Amino acid sequence: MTPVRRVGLNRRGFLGLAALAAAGGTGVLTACSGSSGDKRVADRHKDGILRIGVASAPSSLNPLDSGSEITRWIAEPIMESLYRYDAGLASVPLLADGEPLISEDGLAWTIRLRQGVLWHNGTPFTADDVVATLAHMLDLSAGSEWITYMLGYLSRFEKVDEHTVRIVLGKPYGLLRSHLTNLPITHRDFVARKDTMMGTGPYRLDTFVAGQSFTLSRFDRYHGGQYPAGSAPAFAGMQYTVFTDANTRVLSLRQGKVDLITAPSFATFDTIRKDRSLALVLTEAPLDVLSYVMMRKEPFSDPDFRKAVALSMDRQGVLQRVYGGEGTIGQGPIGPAELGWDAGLTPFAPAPDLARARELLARAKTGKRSFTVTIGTNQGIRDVAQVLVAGWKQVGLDVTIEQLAGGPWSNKWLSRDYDMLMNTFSSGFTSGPANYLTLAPAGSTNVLSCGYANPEVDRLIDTVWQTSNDAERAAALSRVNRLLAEDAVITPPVHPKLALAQRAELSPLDPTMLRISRLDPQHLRFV
Amino acid sequence: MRARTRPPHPGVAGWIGVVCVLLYLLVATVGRLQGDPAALVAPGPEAPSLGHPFGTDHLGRDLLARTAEGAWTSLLICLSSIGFAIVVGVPLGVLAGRRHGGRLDGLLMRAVETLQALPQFVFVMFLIGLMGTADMHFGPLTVGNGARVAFAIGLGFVPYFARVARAATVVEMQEDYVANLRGLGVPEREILFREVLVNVWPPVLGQACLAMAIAVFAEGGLSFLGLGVAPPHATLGNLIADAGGQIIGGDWWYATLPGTVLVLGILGFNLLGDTVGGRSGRRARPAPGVRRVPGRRPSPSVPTPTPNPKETQ
Amino acid sequence: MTNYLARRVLGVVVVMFAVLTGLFLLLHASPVSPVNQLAPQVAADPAARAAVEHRMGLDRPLVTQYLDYVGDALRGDLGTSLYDGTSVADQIGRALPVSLELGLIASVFAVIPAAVLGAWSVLRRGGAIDHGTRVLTVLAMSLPGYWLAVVALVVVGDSHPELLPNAGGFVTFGEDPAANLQVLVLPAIVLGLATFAMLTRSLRGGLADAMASDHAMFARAMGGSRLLTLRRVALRGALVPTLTVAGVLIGGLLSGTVLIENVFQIPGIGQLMVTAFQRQDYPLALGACVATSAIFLLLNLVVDLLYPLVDPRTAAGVTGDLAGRTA
Repeated sequence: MTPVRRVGLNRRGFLGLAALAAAGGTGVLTACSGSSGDKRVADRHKDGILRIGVASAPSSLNPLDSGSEITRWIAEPIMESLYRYDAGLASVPLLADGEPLISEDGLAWTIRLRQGVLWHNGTPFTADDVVATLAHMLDLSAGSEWITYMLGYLSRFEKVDEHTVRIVLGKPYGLLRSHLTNLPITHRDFVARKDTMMGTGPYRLDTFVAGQSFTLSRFDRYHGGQYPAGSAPAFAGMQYTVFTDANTRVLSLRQGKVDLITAPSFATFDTIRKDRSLALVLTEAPLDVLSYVMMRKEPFSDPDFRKAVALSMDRQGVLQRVYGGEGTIGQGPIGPAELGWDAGLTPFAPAPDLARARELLARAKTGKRSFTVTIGTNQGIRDVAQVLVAGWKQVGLDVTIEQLAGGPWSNKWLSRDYDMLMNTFSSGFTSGPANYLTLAPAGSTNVLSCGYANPEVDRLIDTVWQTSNDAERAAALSRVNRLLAEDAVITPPVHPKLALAQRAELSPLDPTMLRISRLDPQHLRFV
Repeated sequence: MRARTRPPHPGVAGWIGVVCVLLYLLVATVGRLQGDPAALVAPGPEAPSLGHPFGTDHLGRDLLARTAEGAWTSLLICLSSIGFAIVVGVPLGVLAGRRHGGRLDGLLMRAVETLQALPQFVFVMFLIGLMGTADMHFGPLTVGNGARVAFAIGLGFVPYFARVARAATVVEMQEDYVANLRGLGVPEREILFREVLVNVWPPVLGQACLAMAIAVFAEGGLSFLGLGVAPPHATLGNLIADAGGQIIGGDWWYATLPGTVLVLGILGFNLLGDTVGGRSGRRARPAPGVRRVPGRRPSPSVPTPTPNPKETQ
Repeated sequence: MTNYLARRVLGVVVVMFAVLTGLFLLLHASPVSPVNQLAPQVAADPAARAAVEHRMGLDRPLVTQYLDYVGDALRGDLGTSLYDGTSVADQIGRALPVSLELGLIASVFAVIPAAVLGAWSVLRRGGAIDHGTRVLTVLAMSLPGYWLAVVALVVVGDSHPELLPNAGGFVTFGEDPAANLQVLVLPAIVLGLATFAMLTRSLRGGLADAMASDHAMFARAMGGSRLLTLRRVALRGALVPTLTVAGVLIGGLLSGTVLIENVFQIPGIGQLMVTAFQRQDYPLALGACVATSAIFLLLNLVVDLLYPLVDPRTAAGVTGDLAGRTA
């Protein structure tokens, strides 16, 4: 025997021992300990900078192109719109100087602009900026999300004088006021820029590292140097940091590295609640679980099948297991924080009605008992789908989950080649306390139509977009909601709450603004 | 000082490797009796108990059943990807190694180098990124993400096995017996596939076991980035990825138990690969039917490729 | 030797070109398209799609796009990101040093303990150190890094928050060396673990083989001490197998950074690549992949050129025998 041989035997013996060590070793590594960081927070606050931890980086910094929360949360203190929401969520002038002058037929809107407002680069705010913003939005090649809201309604817009613009509509458009309240106005030279934000807000974007951090500083010449009474910004600056890992995000808050985080996962709710220096903030907001079924092909073309699927949804299961009970059982497309919400509408019980679902399935003309649900890639919707699929299995439905990233998911929607589509969607930054886009696929002529053809729904959706009467709009929304729920066309399982977590050293987030998904960081302060 | 011929027994480490793999398979089979891995059996995460020996996951599903499904899925994906890589890579390698330095060798090796110009995991990620995560339909045939992950990982391993086979073939072709057989007028094809291939197999099989370990890592990494097998199907990779978000909530069992099974599997394949690899190749007993001229050392400058089981982290 | 060098460099250039072409064609042949990222209502309008495609230059013939790309790439221009319009080359220029730094620190964390443990365990063959090293390396090889990273974040991060990513994003070495090194410690350890295991095993194996070789046995028989033999005879023999796995280790480090950077939020090339793929940002994904392969090929070339220096025996038959080296 040579040394080599002997070593060979030894080596194997001890490689083997490692197997046992490995099995034991993995168990040791998981632990948890208490909080620390009150001192760090006190030290850190001396520089007067509010630090916010967000869950993902915006794919585009242009707030005109992207209505996503993450872009707009950063844009909130930087960009302003012609009108804004007041404490009662009514639309009041901001960059506009007073209410618009509307012609008799309602088709021509003349808007006076506030004078003495400065952009962050020092140039004055004029009608040219508003015109450039609207032009960018309507430019097909610019790819702005807002185009959906404006195309077909806006016929032209023009500068009347240096501080007046006129918007001319092709047909009555009651939602225009809502859009002008949400649409951020951008400097005329910056409308197409994707690498910066140029606004008129109380904070300006100084620097950013793509995908990582965004640093803002107070803009001292805000509106020429005068702040509205009581709203002088408290912070010298703000810093948004991206923490994609949910654990790191919560840890950073607990250790006092940040003052506020978005999207704490449900698994960490108890940890946050137990920590007295932290506060979990849960609000009803226009967050939707989109859920559409394709009615032009089997099996969802069969109304009995559709209803059976809707009835056998484990709504309670989704709410408890995925959102920790924080939300509302879903009925129709409109949620509790959205215009047209109808608390009395309850065609679906929290627990699945398996008996009736089986009955309907037995009656259904379609023989198919399987379909595919196409979802986005985030963890939340993945868990929702898994709970639902487990529930459907109990009535003999074999459901496959297909996960697609944003672009391909939208394409699937567009191609109409799906069985069921699901994703999470937040409409607060485009529609305020409402969600108009969710309903669009129910219209029979919409490009995203799911194949549902109901003249009454078509008519009501037109009313929603065109009327200037809020009560009429709310009534129409409520009616559409009922029709869509009862026909089992759009039946999201739940309406989850918006979840955030903040440190106790920061003044509480404004619940009214949270109802329209706004963090409103420029009005917070350290306590 | 050459190793003597010895009876084919796997050694202590080999046995422990076998035990690890058997334990892995045991969990995979016993867990299947635990019921439907997608069924919601508890209201939420629960610590291990008699009814649920591994506890339940964040949605209240039995973790033993899910770990078992994951172990099977991971095993299937990894076996098929390695199988694919061997079937494609080894013939390429043998052909290249036959005429060492020849035109075909140069061409194949450039192709292999091009494939390998991206680190393996990056390459696999690139392929999955290209194919997208949607189910593909070829007529009646539906190709799910599992098959595509297996294909992508397999393709990533083709150059690897081509190189292993080529290196072994180069060594074999330098052996005196090949020259002798040539001298006796035995046709080249016969030498290659009767004699040489037999000696190329042992290192390939040894590396295959080690490659299994890498494949398990790769599959887990892809699932970790959300590019793996679609839910609700479990793989060990996506179980661990999901568990990551639960650690801070104190659900220790969620991260550790499937992790232990994963480690058992990887360890088992590492030990088996070590044993098979160690017994094969240069120091090993010559395969039956091949006379090796004693004392002839293989060229030290043709190192046997060693895989890195952690290449995919 | 010069001839060999020239051939190797030429080989790398050819492979680089093949990689560029292959990736470019694959990306354009795949069903993913940047136009897919438009809001569905916009994408629904063929005129809008055409307008966007025209703006991005995607409506030109593939050959034109390819030639343009190659031409620009040769001038160091890899195009602009579809998302923020910034230069891809700039983004890579920012990310690459970070990844290289992380890789370097990870290598240091791997090489030093590997060299010590490898040599020590050969000297004390069969002893406690030897056995302990084996258990340690097999364990290190069998723990998935992405899981370890997540656990490390929680376990270590809670007691040493300064080791975690800080608010305000990543700090480069140039800005604040201390803060930079602090946040790189954890990821480098997790990343280097695999390298450490591989290196220890390979070093130990190489040393053991070399110690058992005829001339080492002879030196021992002539009365040389184990340590002296190790130093004089065996070390050189051990370097070759170690250098052999270097290519694999470099590949492992580069692959590892993709997942590790993702967990620890390090803005390196791996993170850039993942983001680019997730957003289907063509030019960025292509640029990042080309840059990664360039680094990979270059490092491998360096390793190849080190062979003859370490082991003169290979110098003679360099061109042929080296081709057997694995990546």
